[in-house]
Amino acid sequence: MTNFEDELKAALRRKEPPLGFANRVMRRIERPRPAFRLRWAAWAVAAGLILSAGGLRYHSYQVERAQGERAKRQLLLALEITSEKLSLVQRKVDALSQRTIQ
Amino acid sequence: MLARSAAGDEAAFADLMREHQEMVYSIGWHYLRDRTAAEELAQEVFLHLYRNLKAIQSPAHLVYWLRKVTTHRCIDQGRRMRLRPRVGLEDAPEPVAQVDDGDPLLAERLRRLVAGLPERSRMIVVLRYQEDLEPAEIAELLDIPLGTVKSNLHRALAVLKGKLERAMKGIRP
Repeated sequence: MTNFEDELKAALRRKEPPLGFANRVMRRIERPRPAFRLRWAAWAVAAGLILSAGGLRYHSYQVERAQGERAKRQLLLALEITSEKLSLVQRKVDALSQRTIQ
Repeated sequence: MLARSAAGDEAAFADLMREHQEMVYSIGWHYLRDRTAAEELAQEVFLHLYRNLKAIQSPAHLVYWLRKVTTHRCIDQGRRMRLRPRVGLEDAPEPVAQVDDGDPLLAERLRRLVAGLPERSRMIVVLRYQEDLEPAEIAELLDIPLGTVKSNLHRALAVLKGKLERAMKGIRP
């Protein structure tokens, strides 16, 4: 290597980066992390909301169905009672008619 | 340290970075001659490394990878900064005293002259004299033929010598 090349080598010696360089890079590495966590948290919340909404909807469907079943049972009972009453009235009317004819 | 960094150990990565920051920053600084741009570039290189740690197979591969990424980013950055005024010999401040070996003014003048070289020659000179790489290694890093490296290096040295000699004549009686 010539003298000129030695001078060039000395001139192009490695330099230390400005103080705190590594810390600045580490801060840039750590920075995206909250955003990453937030994104996952947002997805988790969204998934939770969807599941909750689905669960609520299913629950209200079940409640409505149970109410419908109860109403149906009550209606059938009412119809049964009415039918029995009507039969009773019919029997009484028949009995009165028999007496009137005799 | 490399394995621990790849496993997500941030302290190990910080140590790894401290071990190589001088090399990465200096390539940027000698090529771009802009402290802020060199630091920004070095930060980007290490962030890129952090995201690609699993691809690094060995400490030697790490050095090769860092040099390759840094040189390519320097060239891209240099192209983006092309409009910035290039420092020519005429723009360099005149030394106030006769220059000797080890004179910081001579070193500064040489750095300015290197900064005035064309992009490819500048990177070849930086890799040859800062990183002490052989022409074949430079050819591989820059993806160019060995002959191109040798001819660029030869031409760059002739230009630098010529300009320096002219400058010396100007300041010596």
